[in-house]
Amino acid sequence: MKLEGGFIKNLGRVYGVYTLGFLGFVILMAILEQAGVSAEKIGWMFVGFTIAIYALIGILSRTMESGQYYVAGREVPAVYNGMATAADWMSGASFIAMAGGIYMNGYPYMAFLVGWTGGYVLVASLIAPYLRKFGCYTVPDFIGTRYGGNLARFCAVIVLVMASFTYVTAQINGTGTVAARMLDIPFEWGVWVGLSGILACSMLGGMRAVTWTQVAQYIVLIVAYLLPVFWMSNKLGYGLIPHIAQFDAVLAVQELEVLHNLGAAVDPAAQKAAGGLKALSVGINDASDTLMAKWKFFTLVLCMMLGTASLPHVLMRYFTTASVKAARQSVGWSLVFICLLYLTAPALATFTKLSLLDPNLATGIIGKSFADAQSLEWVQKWTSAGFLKLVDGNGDGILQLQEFFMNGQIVVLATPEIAGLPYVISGLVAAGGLAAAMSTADGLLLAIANALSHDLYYKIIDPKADSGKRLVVARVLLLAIGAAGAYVAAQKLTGILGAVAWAFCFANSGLFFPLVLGIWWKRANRAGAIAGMIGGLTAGTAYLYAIRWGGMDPWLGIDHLRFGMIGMPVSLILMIVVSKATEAPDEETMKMVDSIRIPKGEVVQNS
Amino acid sequence: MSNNATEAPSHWDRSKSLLYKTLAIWIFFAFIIHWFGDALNGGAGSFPGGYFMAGMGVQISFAILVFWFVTKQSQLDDEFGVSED
Repeated sequence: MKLEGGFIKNLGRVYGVYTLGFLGFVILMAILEQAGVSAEKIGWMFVGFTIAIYALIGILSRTMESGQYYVAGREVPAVYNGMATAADWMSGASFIAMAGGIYMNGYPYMAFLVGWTGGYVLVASLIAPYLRKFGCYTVPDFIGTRYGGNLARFCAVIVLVMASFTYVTAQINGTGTVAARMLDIPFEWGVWVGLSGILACSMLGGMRAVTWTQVAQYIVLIVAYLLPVFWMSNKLGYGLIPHIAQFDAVLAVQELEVLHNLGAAVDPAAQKAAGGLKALSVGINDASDTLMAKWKFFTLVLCMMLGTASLPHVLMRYFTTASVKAARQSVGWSLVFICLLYLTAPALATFTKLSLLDPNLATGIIGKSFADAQSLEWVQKWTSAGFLKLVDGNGDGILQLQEFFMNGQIVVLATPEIAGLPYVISGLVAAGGLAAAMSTADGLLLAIANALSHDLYYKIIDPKADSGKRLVVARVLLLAIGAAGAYVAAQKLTGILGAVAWAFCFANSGLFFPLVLGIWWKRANRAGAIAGMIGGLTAGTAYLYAIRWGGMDPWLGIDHLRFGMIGMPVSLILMIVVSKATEAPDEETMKMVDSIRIPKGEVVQNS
Repeated sequence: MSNNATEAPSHWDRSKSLLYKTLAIWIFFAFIIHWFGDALNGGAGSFPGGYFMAGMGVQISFAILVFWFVTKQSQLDDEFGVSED
């Protein structure tokens, strides 16, 4: 590639032009909408144009060098790596489901917001810079070399696959949902359309292609998330900056909750007619003072934080920076870019709620005529999509809060329509949701395929394989795992969010302590790490199975979102006890640990 | 452990002590403050402090904390001459 040297130096210009081009495209779509082009066509163009751009970047970044394929040549600047990490990190769940989760579940749900940001403090201080110095290609690569032996490496691969595969099905599900809605095709087909877009970004260029598409996807998703919220906040007169205006809106919503009898019983017959959709039943800011509520907040935050610090697809992003210092700084930038979206989610949820609940607003349909609400265009559209159901349970002709059943995901997807914004904004939001789900799916698929090709195939099965053969294997695996993920996603096993929290708990049960103690505790040895990984993962998974399918009552409020609370202590205790009971690691391992603790010097391992 | 008054703390000792400080601040914003979410919210009509902390305050604190940690750790590396060239 003749662009290469120049490309890194010209990143600011390249992505500046790209951002302006994207904004120009949005304006063009707005003009076309005014000129009478149909909503379907605009939706098509948004999805088609953005996927085409990502695919183009993916193809331009193709490579046959393993250093480029696995770690993007270790030359990604800290700020851009932060942006790529933010896109890698913010999944379809963050984009599509998070504001909806806050809308439906109020304060307790914000534990996710706390956990998914605070985890980066651990990434920066405990793990990422040390793994960067180590110089591995994959996370199991660190476990395998630090502790030695194929069994330790293999256990790490198992944990990685369990965590990442759970997560990737949720992302492919997300791309399928958006593709199905925008292209007006069945969900089962949408899943495969989404997968082709995802693979176009990663097949040819591996980590290098994924890095540069993720930066592009971040720009699309953040514009798509922020623009409607700012617009709505200003249009509805809440204030210039939604993040500040939201606190008054919270108080207003709390008054309206009383007006609309929040918490009143839902008519069982109406609920039956609504199926899996839910009526709002939790207050926006009920930070309950019970010990159980505080404990549940605490445990969810803990599981999400330690999961953040052990998810391989996130950690591997920090292998691509040019230095240890850049890796550290890059964690800070990741958090900044993530916060841009996360801090907006509660504002979005609050404004949407206010739009629906406030009887003084034209958009406030709760407490008004049932027939009028039913005849609204967006209500009909989302009802036919199965995301919304209005049931006049008591037959009084008035739409009560308890008669408005919805799927939380529409808070993001339908808000532009609810607030009466032009359709072009809906198209933009759909493109953003697609970017979020695709970028995360790419990172996850690559993490799995790289672990299988590098750790399982190259390091364990065929150490003599040359680099060309390894890259072919890596790509075949990527294709196979993508197809498997799409197949599972098409079966619709669980809602987007359930599966995402599981991935965090699999990761923290199996990997957190082997990673952290491998760096911070020299005495940790192979037997301890293997016991920690197998024990933690088995205990966590067994508990999940028992409470989810085995009919067991959860202990102390530790439900399926928090099963890491069982896996993590088991992993920690086993790792310490078994390490202590067996021989200390050899001199060479001790020296290796010493060398990763300082930034200076050569990387430990150059695969 | 083996440090006596005459032996200056090593790079790793100082790094550990920086880690402990960072984790202490992290624990405050990650866990302790939310334990008092209800109290921070105050009564009806007052500023929703618990909501503010969980939805905005702690995230900003985490970002500042990471950059503070990175700066301190880099200074430490420079001081001991172990940073990258």
